[in-house]
Amino acid sequence: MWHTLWFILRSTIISSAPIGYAALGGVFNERSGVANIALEGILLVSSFGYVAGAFFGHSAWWGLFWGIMAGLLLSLIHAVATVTFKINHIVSGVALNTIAIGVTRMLSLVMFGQETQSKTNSYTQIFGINIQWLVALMLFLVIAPLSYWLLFKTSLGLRLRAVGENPEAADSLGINVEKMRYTGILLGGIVTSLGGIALYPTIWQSGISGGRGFIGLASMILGNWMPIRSVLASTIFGFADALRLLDFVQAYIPNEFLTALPYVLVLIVLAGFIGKARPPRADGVPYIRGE
Amino acid sequence: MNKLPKKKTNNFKYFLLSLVAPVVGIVISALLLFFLILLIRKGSISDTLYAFRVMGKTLTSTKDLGYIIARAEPLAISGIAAAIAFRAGVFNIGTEGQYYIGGLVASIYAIYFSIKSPAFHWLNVIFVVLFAMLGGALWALIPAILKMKKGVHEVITTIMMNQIAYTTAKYFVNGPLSGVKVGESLEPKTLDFPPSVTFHKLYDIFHGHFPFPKYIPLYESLFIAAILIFIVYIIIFYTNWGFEIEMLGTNPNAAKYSGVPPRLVVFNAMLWSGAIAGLINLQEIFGIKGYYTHHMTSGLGFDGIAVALIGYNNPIGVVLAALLFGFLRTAGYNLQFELGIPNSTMDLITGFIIIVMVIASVAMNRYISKLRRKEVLSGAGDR
Amino acid sequence: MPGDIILKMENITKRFPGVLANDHINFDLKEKEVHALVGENGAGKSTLMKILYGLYHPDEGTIYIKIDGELKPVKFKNPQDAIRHGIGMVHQHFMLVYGLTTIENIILGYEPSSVIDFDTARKNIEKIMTESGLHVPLDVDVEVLSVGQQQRVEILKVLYRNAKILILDEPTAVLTPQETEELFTIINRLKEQGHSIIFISHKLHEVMEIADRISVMRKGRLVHTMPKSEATKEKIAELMVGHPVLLDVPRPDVTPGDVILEVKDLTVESDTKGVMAVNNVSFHIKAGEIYGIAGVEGNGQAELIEAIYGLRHPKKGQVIIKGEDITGKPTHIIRKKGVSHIPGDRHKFGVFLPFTLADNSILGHHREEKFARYGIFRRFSNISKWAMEIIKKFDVRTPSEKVPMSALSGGNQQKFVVGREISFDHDLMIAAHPTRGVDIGAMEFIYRQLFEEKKQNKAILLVSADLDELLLLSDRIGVMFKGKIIKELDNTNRQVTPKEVGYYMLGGDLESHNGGDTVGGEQIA
Repeated sequence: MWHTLWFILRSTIISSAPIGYAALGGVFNERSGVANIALEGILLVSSFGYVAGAFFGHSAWWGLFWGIMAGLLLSLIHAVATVTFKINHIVSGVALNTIAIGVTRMLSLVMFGQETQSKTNSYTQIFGINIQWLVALMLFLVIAPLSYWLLFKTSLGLRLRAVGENPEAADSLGINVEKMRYTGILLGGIVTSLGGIALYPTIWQSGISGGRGFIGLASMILGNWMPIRSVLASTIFGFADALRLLDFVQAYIPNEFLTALPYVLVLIVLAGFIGKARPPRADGVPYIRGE
Repeated sequence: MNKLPKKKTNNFKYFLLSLVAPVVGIVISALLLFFLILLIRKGSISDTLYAFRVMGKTLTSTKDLGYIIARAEPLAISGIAAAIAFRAGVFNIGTEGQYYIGGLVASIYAIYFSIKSPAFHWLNVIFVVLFAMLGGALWALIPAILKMKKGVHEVITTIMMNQIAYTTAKYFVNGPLSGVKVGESLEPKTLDFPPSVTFHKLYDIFHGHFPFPKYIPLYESLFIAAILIFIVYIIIFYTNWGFEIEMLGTNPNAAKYSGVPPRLVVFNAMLWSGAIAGLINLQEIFGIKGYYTHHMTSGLGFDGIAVALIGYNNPIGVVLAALLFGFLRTAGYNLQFELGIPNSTMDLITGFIIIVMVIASVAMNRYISKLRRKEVLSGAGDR
Repeated sequence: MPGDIILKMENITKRFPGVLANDHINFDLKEKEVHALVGENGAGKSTLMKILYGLYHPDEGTIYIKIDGELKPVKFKNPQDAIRHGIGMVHQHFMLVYGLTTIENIILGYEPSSVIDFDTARKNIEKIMTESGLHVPLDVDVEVLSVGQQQRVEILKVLYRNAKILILDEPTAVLTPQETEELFTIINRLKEQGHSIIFISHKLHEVMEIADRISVMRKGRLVHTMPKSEATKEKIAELMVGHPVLLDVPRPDVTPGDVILEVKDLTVESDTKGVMAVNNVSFHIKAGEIYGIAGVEGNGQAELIEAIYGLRHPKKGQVIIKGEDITGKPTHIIRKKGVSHIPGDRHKFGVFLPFTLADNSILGHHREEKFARYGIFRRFSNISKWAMEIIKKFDVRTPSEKVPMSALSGGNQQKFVVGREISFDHDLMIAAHPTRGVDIGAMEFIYRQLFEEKKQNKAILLVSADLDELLLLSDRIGVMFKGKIIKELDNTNRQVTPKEVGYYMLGGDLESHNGGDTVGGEQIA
């Protein structure tokens, strides 16, 4: 009994982590006024970055470094395209997701000899703890509260939120809108990369992100763009994932039903409680000065 | 967004200027491709040049041209579906799920309700099209209702619907519709469709009437795509339906003041976008395979979004963009076959083309409107 | 008493493509002085002030600021530079961030430390509030504050940044006469405390009341600066337009005919559920009559129009046009019944900027057989002809009907919209803020057009934030307050005074009129 409960809790935390990190990444992006559906791509490249970095650097630390670098790089392209060149945010996201698929498969072929998956990486420990478990725990214990503090208790967070709500007003107060949005995108990129690292540090496979970036966005909306609430919302999906792994659940409920359940749940919640969910006012709107 | 056919002839200069962006996108991406191949082939310039020759050859071989068109066909339909929604200012990211369900519903018709006599093949084709559209529209219905009644943003609902679509398709293929017999291949699929339903190859249709190579992988679905694109073109540029959709996409408030009910138009645009999306993969399901499976080509919906954006949401632009994508893919296969250059390189290039072209077109549009303003200000009065 | 000069702008020049916005302007400001800057829209006031505030960079010229007792040249790269030199700006359109609290708005961009110490910030702000007399609740989302309160937050923002020089850009545009009085009290208090104020306005009586000195701008030039003692309203007006103004357009003498529009007990819900934006409103307009609606913005005028025009479902009551009940009918039907509408915000509601003039010329009637076969297939040649007629008749300056609307100047866009709405068959014209953002020339043109409508025996419903305009045009004026028409004034002989309207705009007998804070609160809460 206790064993089963612990199993459910542990797998809920591990399955929730990539989604929760993506949700937090979404919060940073959208609070600064940038819609980012490339979170999916960021999960994919950072997951690859970790495995390749650890595999060739013979250390989980190198994995961490390259995982985050990969996510940052993709975020940087999004920032340049949407903030500097002011193109439609969704367009850039679609393109980046395509690029993410292409670049990981290509590099996988060059580095590991096949397009669809990497070789097995055995460097998955930091301080003697499994990195997947560590990063997953960090989300709930450190990163989520820290994000809340950053957004609501610091001047950086205040400015970030202001830029997402009313960039023109922020601009009139001498706040550099572009710089703030770069900050939001890149911070979001780092956070989301941690999610990619928590995905599966042992092996990378094409398509490993499996839509978790999109689910992260859903969690963010369920959490009304609030950091802690968004992370908590991600546990709904994590919990459904965890349940699926249990033998007795598999015996009674069709697998497809459990897979679809959280998505259906989101739709129901969106239909019922949308009155409360309010996106940042300038979300997804490029800011062009002086009109 | 001023691409009424009448305006083009009046403003030929501006039409030419609007072509700058695609050209810039293609040139920059070709440069990037050059360096990528150089990287993969470890600095061998001759290999790289050979690679470009391989790509050039793709355009001269009849067989490859056939493949380009075959690959462009679903993308063009997908692009049209996305473009209809975009024109109304709706981001239907759900075309991906809509074609899974469209194909599924049409397949149910084919397996259980189709007319078995070959004489009624054409009627079956019409029903397949109608049921596919019905399925796609059905899958767009929930996001459309949620948007209209509750104001829920369609990007998030359609993303959810995409996930549910795949699971639904999988459930049907593994469960009620399963056609895998014991001892057969392990690939999950439905029963085979009756021959009176499956799409004929163009070769079979034209054979005996005029010379048409047998190896060209094109099916009747090409006609469906062509008719669809023509109809949508007329609707967008010559009817009030298109005009109202464009009003809504440009300025919903002003549309409302002009007596156009915004939520209704958005609702309709969303449903029609879904209906068209239902047709995206008919070629593969009813032409190539002849049965349904959730293991079919995925990602056509997202690719269509890119095609629509690169094609400026204009049906002709969409066709050209789809052909470009079809070319990149076909050339990609040839590169992999001849030089071992990973096919995924082309995904990378595709993504870059999207970003570069869109950036270039944003910049060009700004330049064009500046130019126009100047022209009007200087020319004011002397008309 | 004004003291030494603390700010000097010398030879400021700023060019935009095709326009010389500021042409070698010299401007200065003394300590403890209110210096009014007047001029028409497009005269260059805003450009000059944006340069002073660091939002634009001048092509030529220098700004001097008094630092340690002497004037030193300064260069402002951005607003932060200007703020650092003690300059603060209250924009005409409030620069408040909805979604953030009052206190967050005040400290935004000028936080005490990177980890915000909200307690210290609160103490500082409360001190400023006591000194200046500007009181607002600190812990609510600024969105729920009334317009008057939001303006106070704006001024507090500037004071919190220790500004010595305050730029107030048309601060009274959104206020009632009574609220304006309160603002003037605060301005005088700030002056006593050592602040200097640049007061931008085009309301001459206000300028005469509050300013110590007055500068007039016209077409990018500063044409004259004078102390108040030398100024008269007539003189300022003449300097503003370059010739004596006769905005006294003669009113045609028309005997009102049949009732065209009748509104009975109309009640309309606002965007907030349960709150009635329009509450039991009844009035009627006859043919050949102009009925003006006055009121502080946000008291239900917009919702009233939307309900008549079919954009909002009334909760209760009736809208009757020429005897036919059209309550709750959709807009396109109502337009067909003979209703034209010049919307308040042209860019938002009146035009599609990227569309051609031709496409813009048929909005709302695009389904008519004349413009579309079977209501579906568009007849491009008819549409072009129609657009050309509007362009000719209403003197819209454009090379052709095939250019996008965005290429036209604001005044020409508005002329086009007015022309379009007049050209369609109609009996009722709903004109909302028909002259907002246009220059005096276009204004006069539009006034004449509206009187022409009157002569044609149309019924006209006029909603305007410009009291002068209402008094000039209307035969009768209904004053709206908190969703009700609380007073109807007869203005047949132009006998109504602004003060009288202002009294009712604040609730008249219904409320004691010292509480500007509550205005509009009901709609927003």
